[in-house]
Amino acid sequence: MSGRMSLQALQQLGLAAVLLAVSVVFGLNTAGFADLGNLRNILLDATPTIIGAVAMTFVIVTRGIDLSIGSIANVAMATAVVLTGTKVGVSVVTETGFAVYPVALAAGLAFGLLNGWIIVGLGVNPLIATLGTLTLYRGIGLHLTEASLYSVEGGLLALGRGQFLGLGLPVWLALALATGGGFALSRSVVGRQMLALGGDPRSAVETGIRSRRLILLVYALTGIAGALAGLIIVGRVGVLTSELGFGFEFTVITAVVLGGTSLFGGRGSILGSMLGALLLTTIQNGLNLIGADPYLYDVVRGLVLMVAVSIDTLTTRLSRRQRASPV
Amino acid sequence: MKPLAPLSTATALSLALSGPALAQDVTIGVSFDKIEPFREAQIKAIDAAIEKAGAAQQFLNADKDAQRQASQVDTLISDGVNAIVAIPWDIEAAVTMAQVSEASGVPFVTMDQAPADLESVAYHVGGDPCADGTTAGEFFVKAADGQPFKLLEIQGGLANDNGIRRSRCLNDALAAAPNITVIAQVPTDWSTERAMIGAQNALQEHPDLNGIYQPWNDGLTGIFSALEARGRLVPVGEEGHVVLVSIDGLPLGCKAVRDRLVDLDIATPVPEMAERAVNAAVAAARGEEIATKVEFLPGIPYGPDDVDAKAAELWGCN
Repeated sequence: MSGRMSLQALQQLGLAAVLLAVSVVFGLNTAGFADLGNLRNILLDATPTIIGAVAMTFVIVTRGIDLSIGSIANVAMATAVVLTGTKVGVSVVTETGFAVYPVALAAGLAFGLLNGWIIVGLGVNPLIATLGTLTLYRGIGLHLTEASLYSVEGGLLALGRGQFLGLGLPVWLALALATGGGFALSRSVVGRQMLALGGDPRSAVETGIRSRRLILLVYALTGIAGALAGLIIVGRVGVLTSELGFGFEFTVITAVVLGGTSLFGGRGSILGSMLGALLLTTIQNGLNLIGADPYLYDVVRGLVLMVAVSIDTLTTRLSRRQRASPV
Repeated sequence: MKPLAPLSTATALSLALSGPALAQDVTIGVSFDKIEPFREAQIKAIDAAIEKAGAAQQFLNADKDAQRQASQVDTLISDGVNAIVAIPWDIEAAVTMAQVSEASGVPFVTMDQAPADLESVAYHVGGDPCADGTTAGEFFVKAADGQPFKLLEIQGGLANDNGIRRSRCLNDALAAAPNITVIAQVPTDWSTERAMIGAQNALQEHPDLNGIYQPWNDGLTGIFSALEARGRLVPVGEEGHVVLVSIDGLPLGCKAVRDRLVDLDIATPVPEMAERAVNAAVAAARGEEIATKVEFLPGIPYGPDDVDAKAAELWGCN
């Protein structure tokens, strides 16, 4: 156990060092990178990914995956804006109130639970189940909005654009969720049960862990996280379009895997996922600031994902070897 | 009289199988690369054009996936459509789709996004992304008026024709003005969130930014959000205004021009484009020769001072 812990700690330390190194490189090349305002921007830009990554960590440690989180962001926002928004005259503006928040979160929860039910109720592999709902939820979102553009005003902007003690409200929210999530995963009974379930599902069930409930719970969490990410993004951008959440799942999963959570389950860290999200956002920010060649962005994103998956495979192999070797 | 009935049936069958189809017998397969507000406007325009032509349609959306779009084109061919009107997601994949379709005897027409090889399609009609990019570039040159000018270029998709040529021709037009510095080119894959973050980051590094090129309307709201956060959302003509040029002509773009937040929007002539694409598809399905195989329709530039005068020809302003 201690060997596995130290391996994970080492991985996080390595990630923090990479984040620091990347920051130093960008800081030396651009005047504005190390500016306090820019650091605030990085934190704010990272919040949807952090929130998604916190929830996705729970899913992945149980050997699951949720490819539909971006589509949930889209369909939850479509549901909430269409149900609670009011078109201002014949203009393109939709006025929203605070009712948009509970409706979006309830929609996210419902779609997350549906994912969980398909997986535990119907016994469908999580990858296949959420690949299906990725398309299904996006289709429902398109149907609800008729692919129209909703330029939003009113209550919906409060979360995305609000400030508290010099930081954006989403930053505080993400920090709170990451702290709570970190505690829940590493210290709570439920968190340990999730790790046990991902590490060895058969033994976990034999020891009395209610695996179906846990799986329902983790997909409910990604549903809520998807809706929260959608609320923040639309609140910041000020517009709901059909492309909301497109590709979000890959950013989130990359952040989680970068952070040391194993795609093979049983091992994961919320702090690592948060560092992964910050690294991805920092790279995007730095490339923007140095005016990088636009064709470089996808190359860098692809490289980061490849490195993350390679490290995960290597550390998992090492971890298994450590467990197998006699003390 | 008796032999006439079988003869008529045979004649009709022969015409149906090999002869030119009447418009009401034509089913057009419509393959879109994605659904978003601009595409929604194009769907409405295509619906109207197909209804006007008296044809039927079968619609499929590829949702930003070139592989899926290729499969959908195969499906349309299998379903027996008489012609295909497509907005391709990937310019290279479009060539293969066109070749497969034409080899199956189904004319392949592209709209809006040109394939990498225009010879591969029966007909193409699009906006003129190069003309639009050039118009935008010339506008920035005029706005800079020989003075140092920092410009942020937000880019759409780098895998499709509109994204590539709206960027390339902007930069060609800017080449004549060494006083204009493009401080960053931010690729977004048409994401409004990435456009906002790109503008936010550029304003962080260059608080004295002079202009932003936002080559599609959906992303404008995010740009306004970034400008507002830095206290730079100032109307056209007032001190501190950031010159903003966009393309599309959506209702959102028209509103932004009327609110004097955008200096120039270039409206793509969507209804005309859809009508030409549908008419060409019907004609090709009937075996008729298409005189002009490629047409590019330049956008209609409009700004706060002439939006009302031009409103009648701007579909997004009505």
